Amino acid sequence: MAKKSLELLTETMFYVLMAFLKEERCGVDAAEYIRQKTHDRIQLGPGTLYTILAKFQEEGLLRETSVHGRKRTYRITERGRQVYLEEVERLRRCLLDAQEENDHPQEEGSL
Amino acid sequence: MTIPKRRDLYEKKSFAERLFLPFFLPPAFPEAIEHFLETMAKKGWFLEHVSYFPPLWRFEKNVAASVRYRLEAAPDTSRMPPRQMTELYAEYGWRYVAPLSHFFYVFAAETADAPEIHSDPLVQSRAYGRMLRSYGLVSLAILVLLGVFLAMPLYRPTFFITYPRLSLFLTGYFLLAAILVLYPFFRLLRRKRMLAKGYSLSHKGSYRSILLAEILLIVLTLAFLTPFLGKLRAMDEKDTLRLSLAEVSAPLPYLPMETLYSTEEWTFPSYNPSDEYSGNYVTSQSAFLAPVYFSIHEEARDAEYTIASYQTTFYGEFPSALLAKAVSLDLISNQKEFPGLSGKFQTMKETYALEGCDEARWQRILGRQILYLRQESRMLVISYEGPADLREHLDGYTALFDETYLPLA
Repeated sequence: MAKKSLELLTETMFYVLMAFLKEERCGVDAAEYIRQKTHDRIQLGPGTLYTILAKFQEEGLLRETSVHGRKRTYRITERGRQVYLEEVERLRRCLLDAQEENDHPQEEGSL
Repeated sequence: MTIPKRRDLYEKKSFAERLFLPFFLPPAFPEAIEHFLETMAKKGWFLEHVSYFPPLWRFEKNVAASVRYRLEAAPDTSRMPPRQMTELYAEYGWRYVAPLSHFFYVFAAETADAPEIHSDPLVQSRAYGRMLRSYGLVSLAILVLLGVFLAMPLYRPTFFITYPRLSLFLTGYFLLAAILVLYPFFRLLRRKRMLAKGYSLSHKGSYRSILLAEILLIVLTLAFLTPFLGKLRAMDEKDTLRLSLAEVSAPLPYLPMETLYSTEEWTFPSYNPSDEYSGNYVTSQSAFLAPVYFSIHEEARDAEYTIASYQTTFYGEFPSALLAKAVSLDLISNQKEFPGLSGKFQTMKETYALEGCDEARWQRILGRQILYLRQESRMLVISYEGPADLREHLDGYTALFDETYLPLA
């Protein structure tokens, strides 16, 4: 049986990809970026961060570019960028559907 | 107060500053293990090493401190965590302590403000998934090993017939052992499922109840199980009557060797109960799975006592034809074994359609003939070594099913 590849991104995974979108970073810096971006709503633990970074490397979404002591720097790959954009599009369509539902609520008794 | 760094612990320490405890908490209770380690740290004992053989925890003495311990599911089967993992965790204040079996790594928070290791249960469930696969394989291997020893009655039906009480007990004990082996796996599986649903794991757990249950199990096993097994075996053996053939006048389900060939120049040594290799005796049993069961052992020797001829006849009446088949297959398999010899031997086989028999098969392997006859739920297995050809006496053996046999009193 073929190995199951990455399916739906969780919110945390999505933000990790976002953190690497514009520049190379180390994992700790990415976690700090996410904390600030989400105004402390998402705070990554080391285990979560490690698991996501390992998984993304395995799936070819991130690539390790350099190691300086304990600092490991990563860069997003083309595939990672593509997965990120697909997720953005999916979320955008979800939001559009939600907004449409708000603007045109279902009439009472129509079911 | 911070826990001691590794370089401090390389200093030579006296045994008084070390504590060795048996590894008694199963890895399927990580929250209990965490609680235990935290309790020890509050008393000034810090975990430094866990060994397999012997299974011991090694603690080293330092100033008591309130330390958080967390068991991290190992992402693969390697005993040591990847350097990338320990370095990243150290950045957040979590020091790697020791591996725990092949399933967890123990980490300790050096400061009170170190964030929890996992903030996303869904992501954590992936690491648990890999660890569970390893744990499942190990559980399966243990189960198979237990089955080889404890579940023997299930794959050796003859043992079940001859030792029914012991067999029932062993089967029940195997089922209990299977539950004890599988329960931790399903417990970990449940934790993984909770994570996958988005629930964070609780780190609150008491090790005392687990310790109590383990002590109870060990005490029951040592105080009750071993002596009880011996008693059950003795009770089963007491139900088996063994008599010299010369003493039995009741009809028995066998064809004496005298009827197979001329034994004028042969002698039949008397049965000697103190000699385990002595022949010419019959054992009779009656149990719920085999209301009538005989094994008749004959031995004849030539005048010079150099050549021997043997016939062993097994006769059983069972509640079902399926059980009769299962027992006869087991008996035939036993009879094909030759102590001291291994490998495949040429076998001659023949199958017959006999009136009065649902199955009839004969085979010869080396110098031994094995005849198998079955009539509904009654079976006859004869193992013979000697000059006669059992195929010439099929009618005689079939006619044994026409008689009624009762267990010897």
